[in-house]
Parts: sequence; C-alpha cells; structure tokens
Amino acid sequence: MGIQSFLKAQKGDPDWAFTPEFYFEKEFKIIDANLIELSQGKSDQIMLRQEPTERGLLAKHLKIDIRENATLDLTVTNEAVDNLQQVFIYDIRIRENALLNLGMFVKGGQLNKHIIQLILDDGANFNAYGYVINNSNGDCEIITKIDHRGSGSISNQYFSCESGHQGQTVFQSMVSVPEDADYVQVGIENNNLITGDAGKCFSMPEVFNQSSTAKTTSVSSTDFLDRDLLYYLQTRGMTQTNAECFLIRNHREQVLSIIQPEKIREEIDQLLIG
Amino acid sequence: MLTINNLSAQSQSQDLIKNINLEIREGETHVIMGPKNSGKSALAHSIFGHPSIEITDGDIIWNSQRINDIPTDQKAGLGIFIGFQLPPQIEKITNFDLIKEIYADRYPSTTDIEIRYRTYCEILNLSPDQDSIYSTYNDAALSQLKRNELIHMLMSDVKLAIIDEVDQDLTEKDIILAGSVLKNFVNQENRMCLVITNNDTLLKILTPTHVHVMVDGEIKMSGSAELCERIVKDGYSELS
Repeated sequence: MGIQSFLKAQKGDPDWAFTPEFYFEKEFKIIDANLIELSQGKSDQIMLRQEPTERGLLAKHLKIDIRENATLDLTVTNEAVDNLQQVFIYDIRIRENALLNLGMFVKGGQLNKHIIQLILDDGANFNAYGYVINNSNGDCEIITKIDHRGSGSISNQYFSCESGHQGQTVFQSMVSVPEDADYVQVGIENNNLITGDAGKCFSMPEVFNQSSTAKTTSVSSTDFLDRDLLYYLQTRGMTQTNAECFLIRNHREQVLSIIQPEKIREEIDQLLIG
Repeated sequence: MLTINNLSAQSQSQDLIKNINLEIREGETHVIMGPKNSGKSALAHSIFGHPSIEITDGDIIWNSQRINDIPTDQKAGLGIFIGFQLPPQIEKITNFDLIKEIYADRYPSTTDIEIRYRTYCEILNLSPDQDSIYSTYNDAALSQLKRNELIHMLMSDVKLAIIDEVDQDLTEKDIILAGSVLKNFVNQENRMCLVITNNDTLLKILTPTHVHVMVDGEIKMSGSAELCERIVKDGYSELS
C-alpha cells in the first residue's frame, strides 16, 4: 500500500487507457462484463449494486454508452468484505449533448479499486460525485481518466474520502483536454477526512490541458478530525464519541445531500454507517 | 460554588498559569482583566480541560467535587459553560442544525428547541435563518459567532458561565446587548459568571462583584469594581 498505489498511466500509454487485460494481466479473474446502452434522446435512472459473492481476486468490466442527447442517472454502490480484492473498470462514452450523472459509493475491501474511464464528445456533460470509505485494513480507490474529445464538453467531479484505523483511500483523476477541444470545462474537488491515527488519504487530481479556451479548477483537501473542534463540541456537552460521529457525519452529508431521490440517499446513508 | 486552589498549567512545557486562587459564589460576577497573552483564556480552558493544556498543580472544585480530571463533556453536564473567544470553524453546517444536534437530548422536541432558539436570536439581534456562520470568518460572521455563543449559554442549563472576550468584534450596540444578557443571566437564582474582558462598556454594564488582573499567568491584583476604572485609566504598566 501507499502512494505507489497510484496508477502510472500517462498520456501516451496505449490509448491512454486501461483495458481489463492490460491492467489485470493474469492476476484477476473477470467475473462479469456488462453493457449499458442508452438510446438517443432517452433518459433513465439506474441503481447498480456491486455485490461480488466470490472471494479472492475479482474483476468486473462495465461498458456504458450514452447516445446523443440521452440522460443517465447512474448510482453505483459497492461494499466489500475486508479480505476481498477487486477491481472494477467502467468504460464510458458520452456522446454529443448527452449527460451522465454518476454517483459512486464505495466501502471496505482489502483492495477495492474503481477505474472510471470516459470519452466526452461535443457538448457532453459528466457529473460525478461520491464517497469512498475504508475503516478496515485495506485500500479503496477511485480513479478517473477523462478524455474531453469534444468541444463544449463539461466534467465535474466531487469525491470525498474517509479513512480510519489502518485504512487507506485513493482519489486519482487524470483529465485530458486536447488542443482542438474548445470551451471545455473541468472541475475536480476532492475532500478527505482521516478519522484514525493510522488512516491515510491520497489525492492526485491532474488536468492535462492543451486547449487555450478551457476553464479548469481543481481542489483537494485532507483533514484530520479537528481536536479543537472536538473540544468545542465537548464543552457543549457532547461526548467525545458523539462529537467524532457528528463531524464524520457532517463530512458525509456534504456528498449525501447531492443525492436527490430520498430512498437512494437513505440506502447510501445506511451503507456508509453500517 | 467554584473554588480554584493553587492552579498551575502548562502547554508544551510552557507555563500558562501559575498558582491561581479563585472562589466564585452564586450571584457573583467575576471579571478577569489583563494584557494579551497574560493567561486569561488559558485559565478558562484549564478549568474545562482543553486537550493541549496540562494541569501541573492545584485543584478545581465545583460544589465540593474535584473536577480536574473529569471529561470536558461531563463538566458541561455539571452546569459549567464556556463561551469561546474564537469558536472554531465547522464547514457547511447551519447554526440551527448545530444547536439541534447539541441540545436534542435536553428538550422534549425539536419544536421546543426552535422556539427557544428563535426567541434568543431575537434578543441577541441575530437572524435565526442565517446560513453557516461557522464557515466564514469575516467581521460580520465573527460578530454573529460571538453573540451565538451567548445563545448556546442560554440554551443550556448553566450555573456558571465563563465568557471569554465576548466584546471582541462586536459593535458598541451589540456589546451593550451582550452585557445586558449576561447581567440578566447572573441575576437569576443560583447563577454565577466569570467574564474575561478589558472592555469599558461591558465592565460598566456588568458592575462586577470581583475584579482580578492577570499578568504573566498570575493574578497580580484582585479587588472590587473600582479596580476596573483604575486599570482602564492607568493600564497594566505598574503590574508588570
């Protein structure tokens, strides 16, 4: 574990992308390969609960193709048992003027890696948000690789991570804006909270911008549970445990509040608490 | 009654307060004055058990119980309150949400909390529907935060209020408001107050029963309200 967990992909690698075979080599067993295709102009909401039942080294591959002017709200949840090692690859194409709202909620596992690679065509819009939590001995990772091939395309990412005890989280984003893509907008925000003495949160937001018209912002922060803040809450009568829970819940709430359907928000709240 | 006997405390091997003796009884308003970094706030937070302050000697007695080592939240449960000089930042939480979280167990319902909260906001000239005052540190937000500390005091079942420089960042009008809230608080049965301030307006409103002057972590002088006038007029030079 550690910072070496970051993928070493650079622009110029084969297609600047990872195929399951390339990434997994012989280590991982692909147990699932699915395709979600949304027809032109359609809109849909999908809740995808990734619940592997096998143990050991697992890999899942999901292809998503959102056709022109279509809209997909996709929420992915994944809770892994402590000794599970799994890698998910999401290959996503968002075509002209299509929109994907992607919620990713990932918890637990010895190695729990979610690689999201996207191609955005002209006017395509990608909004991603999510929460990554590892309070066990393992490593949870969200890795996004976004290729803004089309002009006027927009990607916004807002991911929060939480690690406690000896857990580790990784958020890595590599966003590419080529020279001929005009008026692209890129936003990356990653807020991490370390709740245990040996917890680690790594963050690497990167934008490779070659366009003179692109607007890009990237923000990353990592905090511990603030001792002064805990003390303040204790002076108001909260026990230390309740004060810690309150601050952790407040950190989670910043992402949970984005989820619109209440039923889904409650389900994810339970996933994070459980 | 709060009794402090020979209290000394340090942080990272630096002495903060030395041999403090203090006795605060019901109905009394004690004021601590002193120049910057004289140990006034350190004394307040030593009583409450700030995690970075270590008590090296002495006793803190609350109604015959030695409370040096009891957890901070339990001190709050005993009816002791501290209003912070600079409350910490809490991202993206509204003031009322925090109030609800803290006082949920002490009121029969959220409606009861809200009624009280709105009443106290009106008294202290605060908007009850403001967004997160804990997220922004500008002059307006600081002024709101200070008055908000008094709302916390009023929401709790407080016997002893320790108020640390509530006047800082307040307008003259709001200092008068805060002063009258504190004065009214201590006039109620079984209440007592320890106020850290050097502000002339606040001192005049409070008309303290006891005044202590701290310099270099020690109480150098104690007296009645007349001592305030002397200090305000002559400063601390003769005590250094």
